Amino acid sequence: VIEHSLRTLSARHDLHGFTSGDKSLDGFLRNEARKSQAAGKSQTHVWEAPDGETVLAYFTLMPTSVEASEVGRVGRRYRDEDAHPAVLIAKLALCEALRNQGIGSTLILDVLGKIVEAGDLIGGRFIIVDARNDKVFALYEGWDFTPVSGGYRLWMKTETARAALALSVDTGAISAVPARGA
Amino acid sequence: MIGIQRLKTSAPGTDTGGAVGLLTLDSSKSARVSRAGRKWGAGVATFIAGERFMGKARRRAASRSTKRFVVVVPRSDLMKMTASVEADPAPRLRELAKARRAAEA
Repeated sequence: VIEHSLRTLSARHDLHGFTSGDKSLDGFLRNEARKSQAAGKSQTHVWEAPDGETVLAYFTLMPTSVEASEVGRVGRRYRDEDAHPAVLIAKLALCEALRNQGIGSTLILDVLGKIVEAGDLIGGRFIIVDARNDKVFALYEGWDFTPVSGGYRLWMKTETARAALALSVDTGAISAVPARGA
Repeated sequence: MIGIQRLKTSAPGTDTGGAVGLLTLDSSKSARVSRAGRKWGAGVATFIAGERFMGKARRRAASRSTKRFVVVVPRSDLMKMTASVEADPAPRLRELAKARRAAEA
């Protein structure tokens, strides 16, 4: 795992040095992420290099809702609700130099960790992502997201992420399951 | 109670013939199969298999070729079934998280 700290995007971060290989993702980080954050639309979090400025990866989260029909049988549990509170993974990018090394899997763990943490504060039943293409779609499927039929949208229950990450409900802190008697 | 599972087999002897249903065994020793929101009483499904099927279901759950199963068992064996087959909805994610924790330890 590359050495990094997970931080909320701030003025000290050098956004122009970040290149993911996808112009739209780079452009969003450089030109829109801070504005969107200031406007209260989304929050962008970055993997900050030890120098405190270089951005190695970023992801943007925003509140959303998902139609009950999109999440199938799981949604029917809440029969009286037409839509469910959710968190959208709006953007996610890793710098080009770190790609194809399995580091994206570590990044998604941080993404889900943040979402679970947010869920402890404000709720949020589902995690939603709108994949941009087949490759991204396959990537999220590989991370156990469930596709909504007939589109590029995928979802996961926040509780599933919490359980997979072994995050405690009370504190949101990452904790290994203690051995018996420990 | 055996967890809620999805039938993904057309094992001989089933009149559900590979249909998807949910089976819940409750403390009253009865089995309920629900499909598309309908509740069916015990006896709608023809119960088959036993440990052999449970083994298969466990393997499939482990490989996540399907998420859920109906475990169809002989009615006479209902109370003998103690194993639970609960497929993990996010096995790969769990492995990733586990590997990360190990790396950080």
